[in-house]
Amino acid sequence: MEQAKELLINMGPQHPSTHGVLRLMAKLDGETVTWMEPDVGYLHRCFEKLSEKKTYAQVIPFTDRTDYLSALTNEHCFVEAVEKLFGEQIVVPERAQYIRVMLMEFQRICSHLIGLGAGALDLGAITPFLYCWRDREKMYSLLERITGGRMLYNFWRIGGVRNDLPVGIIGTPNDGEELADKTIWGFINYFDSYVWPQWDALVTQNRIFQWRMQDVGKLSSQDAIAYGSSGAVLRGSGVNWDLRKNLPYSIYEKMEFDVPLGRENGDCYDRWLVRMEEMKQSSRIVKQCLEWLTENQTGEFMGKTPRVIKPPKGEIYHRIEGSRGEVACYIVSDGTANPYKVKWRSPCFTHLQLMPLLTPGHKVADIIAILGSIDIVLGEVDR
Amino acid sequence: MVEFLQSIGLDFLSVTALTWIAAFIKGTLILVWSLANFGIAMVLERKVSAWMQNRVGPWRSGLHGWIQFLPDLFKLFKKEYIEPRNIDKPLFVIAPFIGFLSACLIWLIVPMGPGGTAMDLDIGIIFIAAITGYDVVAIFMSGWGSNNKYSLLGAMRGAAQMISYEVTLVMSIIGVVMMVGSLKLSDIVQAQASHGLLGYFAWPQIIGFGVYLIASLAELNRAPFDLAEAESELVSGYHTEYSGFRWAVFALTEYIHLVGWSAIAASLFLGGWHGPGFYEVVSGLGNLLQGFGAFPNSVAGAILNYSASIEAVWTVGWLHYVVGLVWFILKTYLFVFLAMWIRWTLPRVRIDQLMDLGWKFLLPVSLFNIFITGILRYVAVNVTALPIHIGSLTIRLLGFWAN
Amino acid sequence: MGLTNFLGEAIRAGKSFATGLSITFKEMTMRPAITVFYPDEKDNVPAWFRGIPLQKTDLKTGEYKCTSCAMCVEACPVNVITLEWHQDPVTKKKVADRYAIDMSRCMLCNYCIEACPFDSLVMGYDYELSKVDPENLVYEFEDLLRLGLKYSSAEQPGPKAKKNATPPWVFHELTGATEADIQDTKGFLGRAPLAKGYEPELKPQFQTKTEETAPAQAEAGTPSGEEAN
Repeated sequence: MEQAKELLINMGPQHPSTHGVLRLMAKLDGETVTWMEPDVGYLHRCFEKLSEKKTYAQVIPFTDRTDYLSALTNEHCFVEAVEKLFGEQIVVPERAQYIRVMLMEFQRICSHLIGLGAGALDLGAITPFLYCWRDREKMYSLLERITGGRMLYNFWRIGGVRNDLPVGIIGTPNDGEELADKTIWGFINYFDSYVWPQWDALVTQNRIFQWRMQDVGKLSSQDAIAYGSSGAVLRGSGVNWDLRKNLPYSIYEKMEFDVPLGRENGDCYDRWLVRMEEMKQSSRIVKQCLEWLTENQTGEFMGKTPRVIKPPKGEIYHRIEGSRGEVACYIVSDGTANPYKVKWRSPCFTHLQLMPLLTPGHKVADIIAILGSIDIVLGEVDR
Repeated sequence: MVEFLQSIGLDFLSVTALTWIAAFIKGTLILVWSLANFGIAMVLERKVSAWMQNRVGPWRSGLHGWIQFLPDLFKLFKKEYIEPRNIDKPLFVIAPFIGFLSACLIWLIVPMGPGGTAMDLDIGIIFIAAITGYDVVAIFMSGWGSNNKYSLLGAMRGAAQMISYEVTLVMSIIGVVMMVGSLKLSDIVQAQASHGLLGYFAWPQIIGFGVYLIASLAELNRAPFDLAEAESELVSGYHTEYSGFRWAVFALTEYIHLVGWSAIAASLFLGGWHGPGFYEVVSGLGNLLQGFGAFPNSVAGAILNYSASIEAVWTVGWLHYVVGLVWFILKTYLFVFLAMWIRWTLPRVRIDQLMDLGWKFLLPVSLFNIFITGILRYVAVNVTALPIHIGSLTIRLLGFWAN
Repeated sequence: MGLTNFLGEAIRAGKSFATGLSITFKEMTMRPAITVFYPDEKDNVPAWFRGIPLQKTDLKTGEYKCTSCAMCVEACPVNVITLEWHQDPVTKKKVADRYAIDMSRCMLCNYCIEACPFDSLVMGYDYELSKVDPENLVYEFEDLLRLGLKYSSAEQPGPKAKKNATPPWVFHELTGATEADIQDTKGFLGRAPLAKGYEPELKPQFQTKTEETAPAQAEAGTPSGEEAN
């Protein structure tokens, strides 16, 4: 009599730790995963097709909603692509560039915080997750004061940003924790002196946490490149590739920061450390922007743009370093007010393909750890 | 209890009838006590987690949320029982109540005060080990009966984990049993009375104490060892399919178990109802001054004389019972808080790491503890005849008095 | 060697757990709760907060500021604004028949406010927009005007108006709005529950004009907002 040796389990679409609506099918031999396949598409919102019917400006709010945890980088990708399509016609003022870069790096801290927090939550550490939530709320309060939206900002405009920074939001370099949700300097100082060390001691250095993360989900550099991964997943495997350094866009050439790298055969813990270190580097960039913005208190924040946005005929592929990896968009313009085609390259979709590669041979609990370490947002996977 | 019932005028009944009545009263008391502790522990858990996470926790329902368990239980009581298709219904229905029973049975042998034990069994420790077996059965029944793959995985994990850790748990207690020479819990508590704070078995049995704390967390299925119900992996583990009051019974079981194991820990390692009261502090001070019998001197003698003079008030009168109960509850909730503190700090371990920890670390350590306890105990008993020297003093300071 | 590893690992693990436990204990004892008791107390919203798009009223004349130019309709990325209008045969001005915002689909992107050339639309600060029935989330023109009164206070009432008197609003009968609506004393936002199958009924002020020029206007002069986009 033949006996079924493997158990097929179905994680999701309703499961506490699939970071959205993702379905993971896994075959188990006892507790060990022998086969795994992610099934996506539960959050498809037709973003690319919808964009063809909208004007260029109207697409910007939709880009917010792809990766909703790091909305500003997505906006930047699309807006900068359109600006590049115009060529010399649109010049983005320097002040707007600084505001953009500062907010993007601020958003990166925010996005990594929630990514790491959710990763810790998947491993059963609930309190660190709520600390991350607490600190992220402070960041959201700041972003809300600047942009008007708490999570979905619609702040970028083609040619600049929607409004200047509110008075007093920058603060002074001496601002401490009590001003963490009032001024950006306050938060950055609070982050450097309190949040990061606390995370480091509470989670990163925790031995149970290290047992769970080390030697789990090992990804070689070759595989990382072959699978088209990017961002912290690629750098966690020791590949030195950061678009902010390698193909600088906006004003990243002027910024001083380091690119943290993991080991050659990066495991979940390497990716974790890369993200931790990236938050520090982001706070460095924010500080440089804040210094510039303190010196230059006023200035244009919106460049001269045509009244109706009609880019010349042509196509463009523009990629930037989003919080989760390489965000890119491909726009074909036929000279009208609506884009002919918009294609969105989302890092999370690419990274999700790593799941069948990384999980076999590990335990059920490691599926969740690996999923947390590649840090996906399902809104971006399905678009 | 039977003598007490006879003394209040029920002596016209036969002893058998009185035994039954006594059993009924004891059972009711244990149930009430368990449920009261469930309420306190559950709200405390939510409050402690909230405080650690800079929140306020339950706040709206009366007394700043401290009676939250009443509306919670009421809500669960009136909810619908959802039964999935193709379940093994008898198993599915009975399982929560078996777990509940085993949780309540722990309270049978816990000494809550002088003479305050429902059944002072001679085989107390073995009884504990036997009772824990029930809980494995409950978890496995619920997981098997639910017709759910998550439940099944959770049940398998739970069974493997609890059986493994039961060994370690009993081994960690053996050290205490060797110190006393009795399996009776009231004897163990009584043995810790002589030297106040310093007489607790937590000091000489510090290794066993640590092992017990870790193993009992695993035995309780509490984080960081809550693998059987790992909510981020297995949704809810073995009770995924339960709803309404059946689910509530699982919650009851969890917290009653927690308080029960904490009470046993308090009895075994922290002297149970013997608190460092006034008498214990004075006699402890006297003992300390004379080096635990090593260097008798006049000051210590005077203090010991004084402590002997007040002994009757503090160890025999009614005050004794009240203070004993208060100390017992305080110590129990110290462990309850510790378990919550650990739960809300540490991440969950993986199943193979859990097994490694149990079999490769805790079991050898507890065996080593038994070995070292045996040697020190032998030395402490046999070396007292020799003249006082520094080795003997060290052994005494470690807590191995010859009595 | 094995034993050293064994003990070293135990010590390292114990140390890291102690660090973690001390952190949570510090958070528990030293730091206050950050909870906001939400329905009882609410956080202040910043100046640029985007809650719900509302229609402003010119408090000097008491007339609404919307001119039915349909710029907001064109700017809206998700087509939530419905605008129906006809031309007044006497003054040749556009008159709105129906202006409604479907808040069930609105994504609060602020484009309509930026597009409005007459400063008629404003983003309200109210964010408690949930309703039992999705039909109740369609905010008609009078609802938007009534809720927008709060944000219309920038312009002074006419010099003759008494300080506490009700301004002579043109739409006063239309909406039944009172001074209390400006204050929003109840903290209640939005419309009362509607009956199932609710069809927006045109108010008499609007109806009389459409009935006069009924057939011709209905075809030629009232393109709906959806078509305009």
